[in-house]
Amino acid sequence: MSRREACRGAWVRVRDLTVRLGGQCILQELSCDVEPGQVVALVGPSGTGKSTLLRALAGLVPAAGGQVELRAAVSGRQARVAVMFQEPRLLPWLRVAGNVAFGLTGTALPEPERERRVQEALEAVGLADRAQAWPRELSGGMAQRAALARALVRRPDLLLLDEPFSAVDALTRMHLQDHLLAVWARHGFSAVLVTHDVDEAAYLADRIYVLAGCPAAVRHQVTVDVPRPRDRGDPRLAALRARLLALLAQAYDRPAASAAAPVGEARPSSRIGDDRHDDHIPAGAAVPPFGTRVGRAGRAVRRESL
Amino acid sequence: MRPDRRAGGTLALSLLLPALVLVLWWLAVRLRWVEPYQLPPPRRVLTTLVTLAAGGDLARHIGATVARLLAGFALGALPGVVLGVAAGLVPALRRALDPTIQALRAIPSLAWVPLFLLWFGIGDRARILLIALGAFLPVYLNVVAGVENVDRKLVEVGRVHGLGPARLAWRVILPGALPSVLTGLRSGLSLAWMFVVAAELIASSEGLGFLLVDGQYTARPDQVVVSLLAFGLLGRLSDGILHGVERSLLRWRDALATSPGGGEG
Repeated sequence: MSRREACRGAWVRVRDLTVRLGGQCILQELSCDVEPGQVVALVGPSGTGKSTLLRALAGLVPAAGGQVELRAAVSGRQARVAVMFQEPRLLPWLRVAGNVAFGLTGTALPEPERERRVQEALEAVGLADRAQAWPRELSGGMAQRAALARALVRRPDLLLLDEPFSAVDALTRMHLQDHLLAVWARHGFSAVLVTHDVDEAAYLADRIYVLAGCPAAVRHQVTVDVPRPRDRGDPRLAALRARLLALLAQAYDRPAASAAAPVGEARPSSRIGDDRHDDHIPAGAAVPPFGTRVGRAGRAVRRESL
Repeated sequence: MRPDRRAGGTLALSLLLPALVLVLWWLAVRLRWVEPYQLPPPRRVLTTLVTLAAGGDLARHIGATVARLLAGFALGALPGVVLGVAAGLVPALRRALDPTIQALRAIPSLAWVPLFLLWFGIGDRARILLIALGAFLPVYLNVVAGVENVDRKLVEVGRVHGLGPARLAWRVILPGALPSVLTGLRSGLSLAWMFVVAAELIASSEGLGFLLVDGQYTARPDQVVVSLLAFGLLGRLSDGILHGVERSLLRWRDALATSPGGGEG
Protein backbone atom coordinates (compact mmCIF):
# COMPACT_ATOMS: atom_id res chain seq x y z
CA MET A 1 0.00 0.00 0.00
CA SER A 2 2.03 2.97 1.15
CA ARG A 3 4.85 3.60 3.54
CA ARG A 4 2.33 4.87 6.02
CA GLU A 5 0.77 2.66 8.63
CA ALA A 6 -2.82 2.31 7.51
CA CYS A 7 -4.68 2.56 10.78
CA ARG A 8 -6.94 5.55 10.15
CA GLY A 9 -9.57 6.14 7.50
CA ALA A 10 -12.60 4.05 6.80
CA TRP A 11 -13.63 0.56 5.83
CA VAL A 12 -15.95 0.54 2.88
CA ARG A 13 -17.83 -2.65 2.07
CA VAL A 14 -20.12 -2.60 -0.90
CA ARG A 15 -21.97 -5.87 -1.48
CA ASP A 16 -24.27 -6.59 -4.39
CA LEU A 17 -25.22 -2.95 -4.69
CA THR A 18 -28.02 -2.33 -7.16
CA VAL A 19 -29.07 1.22 -8.04
CA ARG A 20 -31.97 2.18 -10.25
CA LEU A 21 -32.49 5.73 -11.44
CA GLY A 22 -35.54 6.79 -13.37
CA GLY A 23 -36.57 3.16 -13.91
CA GLN A 24 -33.18 2.31 -15.41
CA CYS A 25 -30.79 -0.06 -13.73
CA ILE A 26 -27.45 1.75 -13.41
CA LEU A 27 -25.55 -0.57 -11.09
CA GLN A 28 -26.21 -4.29 -10.86
CA GLU A 29 -24.99 -6.29 -7.87
CA LEU A 30 -21.77 -4.35 -7.65
CA SER A 31 -19.27 -5.24 -4.94
CA CYS A 32 -16.08 -3.48 -3.98
CA ASP A 33 -13.97 -2.67 -0.94
CA VAL A 34 -11.88 0.17 0.36
CA GLU A 35 -9.40 -0.51 3.12
CA PRO A 36 -8.49 2.05 5.79
CA GLY A 37 -6.20 4.73 4.42
CA GLN A 38 -6.46 3.44 0.90
CA VAL A 39 -6.99 5.50 -2.23
CA VAL A 40 -9.28 3.68 -4.62
CA ALA A 41 -9.90 4.88 -8.15
CA LEU A 42 -13.00 4.04 -10.18
CA VAL A 43 -12.44 4.07 -13.92
CA GLY A 44 -14.62 2.98 -16.79
CA PRO A 45 -16.30 4.21 -19.94
CA SER A 46 -18.40 7.32 -19.47
CA GLY A 47 -21.95 6.57 -18.52
CA THR A 48 -21.09 3.37 -16.66
CA GLY A 49 -22.24 4.59 -13.30
CA LYS A 50 -18.94 5.48 -11.65
CA SER A 51 -20.43 8.70 -10.36
CA THR A 52 -23.60 6.88 -9.38
CA LEU A 53 -21.55 4.51 -7.23
CA LEU A 54 -19.86 7.49 -5.62
CA ARG A 55 -23.20 9.19 -5.04
CA ALA A 56 -24.55 6.02 -3.51
CA LEU A 57 -21.58 6.04 -1.11
CA ALA A 58 -22.36 9.69 -0.30
CA GLY A 59 -25.98 8.81 0.38
CA LEU A 60 -27.23 10.99 -2.46
CA VAL A 61 -28.93 8.15 -4.33
CA PRO A 62 -30.81 5.32 -2.66
CA ALA A 63 -29.84 1.69 -3.12
CA ALA A 64 -32.42 -0.61 -4.67
CA GLY A 65 -30.61 -3.63 -3.30
CA GLY A 66 -27.43 -4.80 -1.59
CA GLN A 67 -25.49 -3.23 1.22
CA VAL A 68 -23.19 -0.27 1.64
CA GLU A 69 -21.25 -0.18 4.85
CA LEU A 70 -19.00 2.73 5.79
CA ARG A 71 -17.17 2.32 9.08
CA ALA A 72 -14.49 4.41 10.70
CA ALA A 73 -11.42 2.19 10.95
CA VAL A 74 -10.48 3.10 14.50
CA SER A 75 -13.79 3.36 16.34
CA GLY A 76 -16.04 1.28 14.11
CA ARG A 77 -18.71 3.99 14.18
CA GLN A 78 -20.41 5.23 11.03
CA ALA A 79 -17.70 6.84 8.90
CA ARG A 80 -17.67 10.61 8.48
CA VAL A 81 -17.84 11.32 4.77
CA ALA A 82 -16.82 14.38 2.77
CA VAL A 83 -17.44 14.88 -0.93
CA MET A 84 -15.54 16.86 -3.51
CA PHE A 85 -17.22 17.39 -6.86
CA GLN A 86 -15.98 18.06 -10.36
CA GLU A 87 -16.79 21.74 -9.88
CA PRO A 88 -15.79 23.56 -6.70
CA ARG A 89 -19.45 24.19 -5.83
CA LEU A 90 -18.57 26.92 -3.38
CA LEU A 91 -21.56 28.81 -2.04
CA PRO A 92 -21.09 32.17 -3.79
CA TRP A 93 -22.63 34.18 -0.94
CA LEU A 94 -20.09 33.00 1.61
CA ARG A 95 -16.50 34.13 1.75
CA VAL A 96 -13.82 31.45 1.37
CA ALA A 97 -13.56 31.02 5.15
CA GLY A 98 -17.34 30.77 5.39
CA ASN A 99 -17.39 28.10 2.73
CA VAL A 100 -14.74 26.10 4.53
CA ALA A 101 -16.69 26.51 7.78
CA PHE A 102 -19.73 25.15 5.94
CA GLY A 103 -17.86 21.86 5.95
CA LEU A 104 -18.31 21.76 9.72
CA THR A 105 -22.10 21.77 9.36
CA GLY A 106 -23.61 19.31 11.74
CA THR A 107 -20.63 19.16 14.06
CA ALA A 108 -21.02 20.62 17.53
CA LEU A 109 -17.76 22.45 18.06
CA PRO A 110 -17.17 25.57 20.14
CA GLU A 111 -16.56 28.67 18.06
CA PRO A 112 -12.80 29.05 18.73
CA GLU A 113 -12.25 25.42 17.77
CA ARG A 114 -14.22 25.92 14.54
CA GLU A 115 -12.13 28.94 13.65
CA ARG A 116 -8.95 27.08 14.40
CA ARG A 117 -9.98 24.17 12.20
CA VAL A 118 -11.01 26.43 9.33
CA GLN A 119 -7.69 28.23 9.55
CA GLU A 120 -5.85 24.92 9.60
CA ALA A 121 -7.72 23.59 6.57
CA LEU A 122 -7.05 26.80 4.66
CA GLU A 123 -3.38 26.56 5.48
CA ALA A 124 -3.29 22.94 4.39
CA VAL A 125 -4.36 23.95 0.89
CA GLY A 126 -2.34 27.18 0.83
CA LEU A 127 -5.29 29.56 0.89
CA ALA A 128 -4.83 31.16 4.32
CA ASP A 129 -4.32 34.58 2.74
CA ARG A 130 -7.55 34.33 0.71
CA ALA A 131 -9.82 33.53 3.65
CA GLN A 132 -11.81 36.75 3.21
CA ALA A 133 -12.09 36.56 -0.57
CA TRP A 134 -15.38 35.83 -2.34
CA PRO A 135 -15.51 32.63 -4.39
CA ARG A 136 -15.88 34.73 -7.53
CA GLU A 137 -12.48 36.21 -6.93
CA LEU A 138 -10.69 32.86 -7.04
CA SER A 139 -9.13 31.14 -10.02
CA GLY A 140 -10.39 27.67 -10.92
CA GLY A 141 -7.54 25.93 -9.16
CA MET A 142 -7.88 28.05 -6.04
CA ALA A 143 -11.62 27.43 -5.91
CA GLN A 144 -11.03 23.71 -6.15
CA ARG A 145 -8.49 23.92 -3.32
CA ALA A 146 -11.06 25.80 -1.25
CA ALA A 147 -13.48 22.93 -1.95
CA LEU A 148 -10.78 20.52 -0.81
CA ALA A 149 -10.39 22.55 2.39
CA ARG A 150 -14.15 22.41 2.95
CA ALA A 151 -13.95 18.63 2.66
CA LEU A 152 -10.86 18.34 4.89
CA VAL A 153 -12.18 20.55 7.66
CA ARG A 154 -14.65 17.79 8.53
CA ARG A 155 -11.72 15.46 9.25
CA PRO A 156 -13.41 12.84 7.10
CA ASP A 157 -12.76 9.13 7.46
CA LEU A 158 -13.69 8.81 3.82
CA LEU A 159 -13.23 11.39 1.09
CA LEU A 160 -15.28 10.91 -2.06
CA LEU A 161 -13.94 12.66 -5.16
CA ASP A 162 -16.00 12.90 -8.33
CA GLU A 163 -13.59 13.80 -11.13
CA PRO A 164 -12.31 16.57 -8.91
CA PHE A 165 -9.50 17.76 -11.16
CA SER A 166 -10.98 17.32 -14.61
CA ALA A 167 -12.12 20.90 -15.05
CA VAL A 168 -8.72 22.55 -14.57
CA ASP A 169 -5.70 22.84 -16.82
CA ALA A 170 -3.02 20.15 -16.82
CA LEU A 171 -0.49 22.01 -14.69
CA THR A 172 -3.06 22.98 -12.09
CA ARG A 173 -4.30 19.40 -12.07
CA MET A 174 -0.83 18.11 -11.17
CA HIS A 175 -0.57 20.69 -8.38
CA LEU A 176 -3.96 19.66 -7.04
CA GLN A 177 -3.12 15.96 -7.20
CA ASP A 178 0.03 16.56 -5.19
CA HIS A 179 -1.94 18.72 -2.75
CA LEU A 180 -4.37 15.90 -2.29
CA LEU A 181 -1.61 13.37 -1.72
CA ALA A 182 0.06 15.67 0.81
CA VAL A 183 -3.08 16.12 2.91
CA TRP A 184 -3.92 12.44 2.51
CA ALA A 185 -0.48 11.51 3.87
CA ARG A 186 -1.09 13.78 6.84
CA HIS A 187 -4.69 12.93 7.66
CA GLY A 188 -4.77 9.32 6.55
CA PHE A 189 -8.33 9.20 5.33
CA SER A 190 -9.60 6.66 2.82
CA ALA A 191 -10.50 8.05 -0.56
CA VAL A 192 -12.59 6.97 -3.50
CA LEU A 193 -11.80 8.81 -6.72
CA VAL A 194 -13.86 8.75 -9.88
CA THR A 195 -11.70 9.69 -12.84
CA HIS A 196 -11.50 9.50 -16.60
CA ASP A 197 -7.80 10.04 -16.50
CA VAL A 198 -5.80 6.80 -16.36
CA ASP A 199 -2.67 8.79 -15.49
CA GLU A 200 -4.47 10.18 -12.49
CA ALA A 201 -5.76 6.78 -11.44
CA ALA A 202 -2.30 5.23 -11.72
CA TYR A 203 -0.55 8.09 -9.93
CA LEU A 204 -2.98 8.42 -7.03
CA ALA A 205 -4.55 5.05 -6.36
CA ASP A 206 -3.63 2.00 -4.33
CA ARG A 207 -6.37 0.03 -6.02
CA ILE A 208 -8.27 0.62 -9.23
CA TYR A 209 -11.68 -0.78 -10.07
CA VAL A 210 -12.63 -0.91 -13.73
CA LEU A 211 -16.39 -0.60 -14.09
CA ALA A 212 -18.16 -1.64 -17.26
CA GLY A 213 -21.39 -2.94 -18.61
CA CYS A 214 -24.90 -1.66 -18.59
CA PRO A 215 -25.97 -2.02 -15.84
CA ALA A 216 -22.46 -1.69 -14.54
CA ALA A 217 -20.47 -3.97 -12.30
CA VAL A 218 -16.79 -4.21 -11.40
CA ARG A 219 -15.00 -5.94 -14.29
CA HIS A 220 -11.40 -5.68 -13.14
CA GLN A 221 -9.53 -4.86 -10.03
CA VAL A 222 -5.97 -3.64 -10.27
CA THR A 223 -3.74 -3.31 -7.23
CA VAL A 224 -1.01 -0.70 -7.51
CA ASP A 225 2.01 -1.60 -5.43
CA VAL A 226 4.24 1.21 -6.59
CA PRO A 227 5.62 2.79 -3.39
CA ARG A 228 5.02 6.44 -2.53
CA PRO A 229 6.06 9.07 -3.15
CA ARG A 230 5.62 8.11 -6.75
CA ASP A 231 7.40 9.52 -9.71
CA ARG A 232 5.07 10.56 -12.51
CA GLY A 233 7.66 9.24 -14.98
CA ASP A 234 7.95 5.86 -13.26
CA PRO A 235 7.90 3.16 -15.97
CA ARG A 236 5.74 0.96 -13.74
CA LEU A 237 3.06 3.66 -13.78
CA ALA A 238 3.42 3.86 -17.56
CA ALA A 239 2.91 0.09 -17.76
CA LEU A 240 -0.09 0.35 -15.51
CA ARG A 241 -1.50 3.13 -17.62
CA ALA A 242 -1.16 0.99 -20.73
CA ARG A 243 -2.83 -1.92 -18.95
CA LEU A 244 -5.68 0.32 -17.88
CA LEU A 245 -6.15 1.64 -21.39
CA ALA A 246 -6.34 -1.92 -22.67
CA LEU A 247 -8.91 -2.82 -20.04
CA LEU A 248 -10.91 0.29 -20.84
CA ALA A 249 -10.78 -0.49 -24.54
CA GLN A 250 -12.24 -3.90 -23.69
CA ALA A 251 -14.85 -2.27 -21.56
CA TYR A 252 -15.83 -0.08 -24.46
CA ASP A 253 -16.34 -3.37 -26.29
CA ARG A 254 -14.06 -2.31 -29.09
CA PRO A 255 -11.01 -4.02 -30.49
CA ALA A 256 -8.15 -2.97 -28.27
CA ALA A 257 -6.07 -1.94 -31.26
CA SER A 258 -5.05 1.48 -30.04
CA ALA A 259 -3.97 0.28 -26.64
CA ALA A 260 -2.85 -3.22 -27.54
CA ALA A 261 0.56 -2.37 -28.95
CA PRO A 262 2.22 -1.14 -25.77
CA VAL A 263 0.64 -3.82 -23.63
CA GLY A 264 2.46 -6.60 -25.46
CA GLU A 265 2.08 -10.07 -24.07
CA ALA A 266 0.30 -8.75 -21.00
CA ARG A 267 -2.73 -7.99 -23.11
CA PRO A 268 -5.52 -9.95 -21.45
CA SER A 269 -7.39 -10.68 -24.64
CA SER A 270 -8.52 -14.07 -23.47
CA ARG A 271 -10.20 -12.48 -20.52
CA ILE A 272 -12.84 -10.57 -22.41
CA GLY A 273 -16.18 -11.40 -20.96
CA ASP A 274 -14.77 -12.70 -17.69
CA ASP A 275 -16.51 -11.27 -14.74
CA ARG A 276 -13.62 -9.99 -12.73
CA HIS A 277 -9.86 -10.13 -12.46
CA ASP A 278 -7.34 -9.33 -9.90
CA ASP A 279 -4.49 -7.84 -11.79
CA HIS A 280 -1.44 -7.02 -9.84
CA ILE A 281 1.37 -4.63 -10.58
CA PRO A 282 4.18 -5.80 -8.31
CA ALA A 283 6.49 -3.29 -6.75
CA GLY A 284 9.52 -4.69 -8.49
CA ALA A 285 7.99 -5.13 -11.90
CA ALA A 286 10.47 -4.92 -14.74
CA VAL A 287 10.19 -2.17 -17.26
CA PRO A 288 8.01 -3.59 -20.00
CA PRO A 289 9.42 -3.53 -23.50
CA PHE A 290 7.68 -0.42 -24.69
CA GLY A 291 8.01 1.06 -28.10
CA THR A 292 6.95 4.42 -26.81
CA ARG A 293 10.20 6.05 -25.77
CA VAL A 294 9.33 9.31 -27.47
CA GLY A 295 6.13 9.60 -25.58
CA ARG A 296 7.79 8.84 -22.28
CA ALA A 297 10.48 11.40 -22.94
CA GLY A 298 7.69 13.85 -23.54
CA ARG A 299 6.23 12.95 -20.20
CA ALA A 300 9.55 13.50 -18.51
CA VAL A 301 9.76 16.96 -19.99
CA ARG A 302 6.28 17.72 -18.75
CA ARG A 303 7.23 16.59 -15.28
CA GLU A 304 10.25 18.85 -15.25
CA SER A 305 8.04 21.80 -16.00
CA LEU A 306 6.50 21.34 -12.57
CA MET B 1 -8.41 61.88 -8.88
CA ARG B 2 -9.43 60.61 -12.25
CA PRO B 3 -12.50 58.72 -11.02
CA ASP B 4 -13.59 61.88 -9.18
CA ARG B 5 -13.29 63.91 -12.30
CA ARG B 6 -15.16 61.33 -14.27
CA ALA B 7 -17.95 61.20 -11.66
CA GLY B 8 -18.19 64.99 -11.84
CA GLY B 9 -18.39 64.79 -15.60
CA THR B 10 -21.17 62.17 -15.38
CA LEU B 11 -23.13 64.37 -13.00
CA ALA B 12 -22.81 67.38 -15.29
CA LEU B 13 -23.83 65.25 -18.26
CA SER B 14 -26.85 63.84 -16.44
CA LEU B 15 -28.01 67.37 -15.51
CA LEU B 16 -27.75 68.54 -19.10
CA LEU B 17 -31.10 67.17 -20.24
CA PRO B 18 -33.16 68.47 -17.28
CA ALA B 19 -31.55 71.88 -17.73
CA LEU B 20 -32.45 71.82 -21.41
CA VAL B 21 -36.04 70.86 -20.61
CA LEU B 22 -36.23 73.64 -18.05
CA VAL B 23 -35.03 76.20 -20.59
CA LEU B 24 -37.46 74.91 -23.23
CA TRP B 25 -40.30 74.98 -20.69
CA TRP B 26 -39.49 78.55 -19.76
CA LEU B 27 -39.25 79.55 -23.42
CA ALA B 28 -42.49 77.78 -24.28
CA VAL B 29 -44.42 79.71 -21.66
CA ARG B 30 -42.60 82.96 -22.30
CA LEU B 31 -43.17 82.84 -26.07
CA ARG B 32 -46.77 81.71 -25.58
CA TRP B 33 -46.32 78.39 -27.35
CA VAL B 34 -48.60 77.05 -24.61
CA GLU B 35 -51.13 78.88 -22.51
CA PRO B 36 -50.28 79.46 -18.82
CA TYR B 37 -53.45 77.68 -17.71
CA GLN B 38 -52.06 74.57 -19.43
CA LEU B 39 -48.51 74.88 -18.28
CA PRO B 40 -47.43 77.45 -15.71
CA PRO B 41 -43.95 78.98 -15.88
CA PRO B 42 -41.24 77.23 -13.84
CA ARG B 43 -41.16 80.12 -11.40
CA ARG B 44 -44.84 79.65 -10.62
CA VAL B 45 -44.32 75.96 -9.89
CA LEU B 46 -41.49 76.85 -7.56
CA THR B 47 -43.68 79.36 -5.73
CA THR B 48 -46.44 76.77 -5.33
CA LEU B 49 -43.91 74.25 -4.08
CA VAL B 50 -42.60 76.70 -1.50
CA THR B 51 -46.10 77.66 -0.39
CA LEU B 52 -47.22 74.06 -0.05
CA ALA B 53 -44.05 73.13 1.78
CA ALA B 54 -44.15 76.12 4.10
CA GLY B 55 -47.79 75.54 5.07
CA GLY B 56 -47.03 71.95 6.00
CA ASP B 57 -49.48 70.73 3.37
CA LEU B 58 -46.85 69.08 1.23
CA ALA B 59 -45.44 67.15 4.18
CA ARG B 60 -48.97 66.03 5.15
CA HIS B 61 -49.73 64.78 1.63
CA ILE B 62 -46.38 63.08 1.29
CA GLY B 63 -46.82 61.50 4.72
CA ALA B 64 -50.26 60.12 3.80
CA THR B 65 -49.00 58.71 0.52
CA VAL B 66 -45.87 57.17 1.97
CA ALA B 67 -47.81 55.62 4.86
CA ARG B 68 -50.26 53.98 2.43
CA LEU B 69 -47.47 52.89 0.16
CA LEU B 70 -45.50 51.28 2.95
CA ALA B 71 -48.54 49.60 4.49
CA GLY B 72 -49.70 48.27 1.12
CA PHE B 73 -46.22 47.22 0.06
CA ALA B 74 -45.62 45.36 3.31
CA LEU B 75 -49.02 43.72 3.11
CA GLY B 76 -48.33 42.55 -0.44
CA ALA B 77 -44.62 41.80 -0.36
CA LEU B 78 -44.59 39.76 2.84
CA PRO B 79 -47.14 37.15 1.67
CA GLY B 80 -45.45 37.31 -1.73
CA VAL B 81 -42.13 36.22 -0.24
CA VAL B 82 -43.62 33.64 2.10
CA LEU B 83 -45.92 32.04 -0.46
CA GLY B 84 -43.27 32.30 -3.16
CA VAL B 85 -40.72 30.43 -1.04
CA ALA B 86 -43.30 27.82 -0.07
CA ALA B 87 -44.44 27.32 -3.66
CA GLY B 88 -40.86 27.20 -4.87
CA LEU B 89 -39.97 24.52 -2.33
CA VAL B 90 -43.12 22.39 -2.54
CA PRO B 91 -44.00 21.56 -6.14
CA ALA B 92 -47.49 20.38 -5.17
CA LEU B 93 -48.25 23.73 -3.55
CA ARG B 94 -47.00 25.50 -6.62
CA ARG B 95 -49.21 23.42 -8.89
CA ALA B 96 -52.13 24.26 -6.63
CA LEU B 97 -51.45 28.00 -6.53
CA ASP B 98 -50.10 28.72 -9.97
CA PRO B 99 -53.22 28.50 -12.17
CA THR B 100 -55.10 30.84 -9.85
CA ILE B 101 -52.29 33.31 -9.65
CA GLN B 102 -51.74 33.27 -13.40
CA ALA B 103 -55.45 33.94 -13.86
CA LEU B 104 -55.31 36.82 -11.38
CA ARG B 105 -52.31 38.19 -13.20
CA ALA B 106 -54.27 38.28 -16.45
CA ILE B 107 -56.70 40.77 -14.94
CA PRO B 108 -55.34 44.33 -15.15
CA SER B 109 -55.06 45.16 -11.48
CA LEU B 110 -56.89 48.48 -11.80
CA ALA B 111 -59.96 46.55 -12.87
CA TRP B 112 -60.24 45.46 -9.25
CA VAL B 113 -60.97 49.00 -8.10
CA PRO B 114 -64.78 48.86 -8.24
CA LEU B 115 -64.90 45.53 -6.45
CA PHE B 116 -62.50 46.70 -3.78
CA LEU B 117 -64.60 49.79 -3.23
CA LEU B 118 -67.74 47.69 -2.90
CA TRP B 119 -66.07 45.29 -0.51
CA PHE B 120 -64.03 47.59 1.63
CA GLY B 121 -65.76 50.95 1.20
CA ILE B 122 -64.23 54.22 0.18
CA GLY B 123 -61.42 54.49 2.63
CA ASP B 124 -57.85 53.62 3.33
CA ARG B 125 -58.64 49.94 3.71
CA ALA B 126 -59.57 49.60 0.04
CA ARG B 127 -56.61 51.71 -1.03
CA ILE B 128 -54.06 49.78 0.99
CA LEU B 129 -55.40 46.43 -0.15
CA LEU B 130 -55.26 47.56 -3.77
CA ILE B 131 -51.63 48.56 -3.36
CA ALA B 132 -50.94 45.23 -1.64
CA LEU B 133 -52.44 43.34 -4.57
CA GLY B 134 -50.25 45.28 -6.97
CA ALA B 135 -47.11 44.59 -4.98
CA PHE B 136 -47.90 40.92 -4.32
CA LEU B 137 -47.78 39.55 -7.84
CA PRO B 138 -44.30 40.57 -9.00
CA VAL B 139 -42.84 39.63 -5.62
CA TYR B 140 -44.49 36.21 -5.63
CA LEU B 141 -43.55 35.41 -9.23
CA ASN B 142 -39.92 36.46 -8.83
CA VAL B 143 -39.51 34.58 -5.55
CA VAL B 144 -40.94 31.35 -7.02
CA ALA B 145 -38.63 31.61 -10.01
CA GLY B 146 -35.66 32.42 -7.76
CA VAL B 147 -36.23 29.47 -5.46
CA GLU B 148 -36.76 27.08 -8.35
CA ASN B 149 -33.65 28.25 -10.14
CA VAL B 150 -31.28 27.79 -7.22
CA ASP B 151 -28.41 25.70 -8.52
CA ARG B 152 -29.23 22.03 -7.86
CA LYS B 153 -25.53 21.41 -7.43
CA LEU B 154 -25.40 23.75 -4.46
CA VAL B 155 -28.48 22.08 -2.97
CA GLU B 156 -26.59 18.82 -3.26
CA VAL B 157 -23.67 20.34 -1.35
CA GLY B 158 -26.12 21.11 1.45
CA ARG B 159 -27.42 17.55 1.35
CA VAL B 160 -23.99 15.91 1.56
CA HIS B 161 -23.42 18.06 4.63
CA GLY B 162 -26.46 16.49 6.21
CA LEU B 163 -28.82 19.47 6.08
CA GLY B 164 -32.50 18.68 6.58
CA PRO B 165 -35.20 20.42 4.55
CA ALA B 166 -35.65 23.42 6.86
CA ARG B 167 -31.96 24.17 7.27
CA LEU B 168 -31.37 23.50 3.58
CA ALA B 169 -33.97 26.14 2.77
CA TRP B 170 -32.47 28.61 5.22
CA ARG B 171 -28.79 28.10 4.46
CA VAL B 172 -28.71 27.29 0.75
CA ILE B 173 -31.98 27.92 -1.05
CA LEU B 174 -32.90 31.32 0.38
CA PRO B 175 -29.44 32.85 -0.06
CA GLY B 176 -29.36 31.41 -3.56
CA ALA B 177 -32.76 32.91 -4.36
CA LEU B 178 -31.92 36.27 -2.79
CA PRO B 179 -31.10 38.05 -6.07
CA SER B 180 -34.52 37.15 -7.46
CA VAL B 181 -36.23 38.06 -4.19
CA LEU B 182 -34.68 41.51 -4.32
CA THR B 183 -35.58 41.95 -7.97
CA GLY B 184 -39.14 41.03 -7.06
CA LEU B 185 -39.20 43.52 -4.20
CA ARG B 186 -37.98 46.28 -6.44
CA SER B 187 -40.55 45.67 -9.13
CA GLY B 188 -43.19 45.21 -6.43
CA LEU B 189 -42.27 48.61 -5.06
CA SER B 190 -42.51 50.29 -8.42
CA LEU B 191 -45.94 48.74 -8.94
CA ALA B 192 -46.93 49.87 -5.45
CA TRP B 193 -46.15 53.43 -6.53
CA MET B 194 -48.40 53.00 -9.54
CA PHE B 195 -51.20 51.70 -7.40
CA VAL B 196 -50.86 54.36 -4.77
CA VAL B 197 -51.66 56.94 -7.46
CA ALA B 198 -54.60 54.91 -8.70
CA ALA B 199 -55.86 54.40 -5.16
CA GLU B 200 -55.56 58.06 -4.26
CA LEU B 201 -57.41 59.15 -7.36
CA ILE B 202 -60.44 57.50 -5.76
CA ALA B 203 -62.16 60.00 -3.50
CA SER B 204 -59.31 60.71 -1.14
CA SER B 205 -58.80 63.89 0.83
CA GLU B 206 -55.07 63.78 1.23
CA GLY B 207 -52.03 62.34 -0.43
CA LEU B 208 -50.03 63.22 -3.51
CA GLY B 209 -52.67 61.56 -5.70
CA PHE B 210 -55.28 63.82 -4.17
CA LEU B 211 -53.03 66.78 -4.90
CA LEU B 212 -53.00 65.64 -8.53
CA VAL B 213 -56.76 65.39 -8.99
CA ASP B 214 -57.37 68.49 -6.90
CA GLY B 215 -55.02 70.38 -9.20
CA GLN B 216 -56.92 69.10 -12.19
CA TYR B 217 -60.36 70.03 -10.79
CA THR B 218 -59.26 73.47 -9.64
CA ALA B 219 -57.35 74.10 -12.86
CA ARG B 220 -54.02 74.52 -11.13
CA PRO B 221 -51.39 72.87 -13.33
CA ASP B 222 -48.65 74.16 -11.02
CA GLN B 223 -50.03 71.97 -8.25
CA VAL B 224 -50.17 68.99 -10.62
CA VAL B 225 -46.56 69.53 -11.63
CA VAL B 226 -45.49 69.83 -7.97
CA SER B 227 -47.07 66.51 -7.11
CA LEU B 228 -45.57 64.89 -10.21
CA LEU B 229 -42.15 66.11 -9.10
CA ALA B 230 -42.77 64.78 -5.59
CA PHE B 231 -43.81 61.37 -6.99
CA GLY B 232 -40.73 61.27 -9.17
CA LEU B 233 -38.34 62.15 -6.39
CA LEU B 234 -39.94 59.82 -3.84
CA GLY B 235 -40.04 56.93 -6.29
CA ARG B 236 -36.42 57.44 -7.19
CA LEU B 237 -35.48 57.71 -3.52
CA SER B 238 -37.28 54.54 -2.47
CA ASP B 239 -35.83 52.60 -5.37
CA GLY B 240 -32.42 53.97 -4.50
CA ILE B 241 -32.81 52.71 -0.94
CA LEU B 242 -33.78 49.22 -2.11
CA HIS B 243 -30.97 49.28 -4.62
CA GLY B 244 -28.57 50.11 -1.80
CA VAL B 245 -29.91 47.21 0.26
CA GLU B 246 -29.51 44.98 -2.76
CA ARG B 247 -25.95 46.10 -3.33
CA SER B 248 -24.94 45.44 0.25
CA LEU B 249 -26.69 42.06 0.43
CA LEU B 250 -25.36 40.90 -2.93
CA ARG B 251 -21.81 42.09 -2.54
CA TRP B 252 -20.68 38.53 -3.25
CA ARG B 253 -22.17 38.79 -6.71
CA ASP B 254 -20.54 42.06 -7.62
CA ALA B 255 -17.09 41.07 -6.46
CA LEU B 256 -14.76 41.32 -9.41
CA ALA B 257 -12.19 38.73 -10.25
CA THR B 258 -8.94 40.16 -8.96
CA SER B 259 -6.70 37.36 -10.13
CA PRO B 260 -7.36 36.76 -13.80
CA GLY B 261 -5.39 34.20 -15.74
CA GLY B 262 -5.11 31.59 -13.01
CA GLY B 263 -3.67 32.58 -9.66
CA GLU B 264 -2.83 28.97 -8.99
CA GLY B 265 0.31 28.08 -7.07
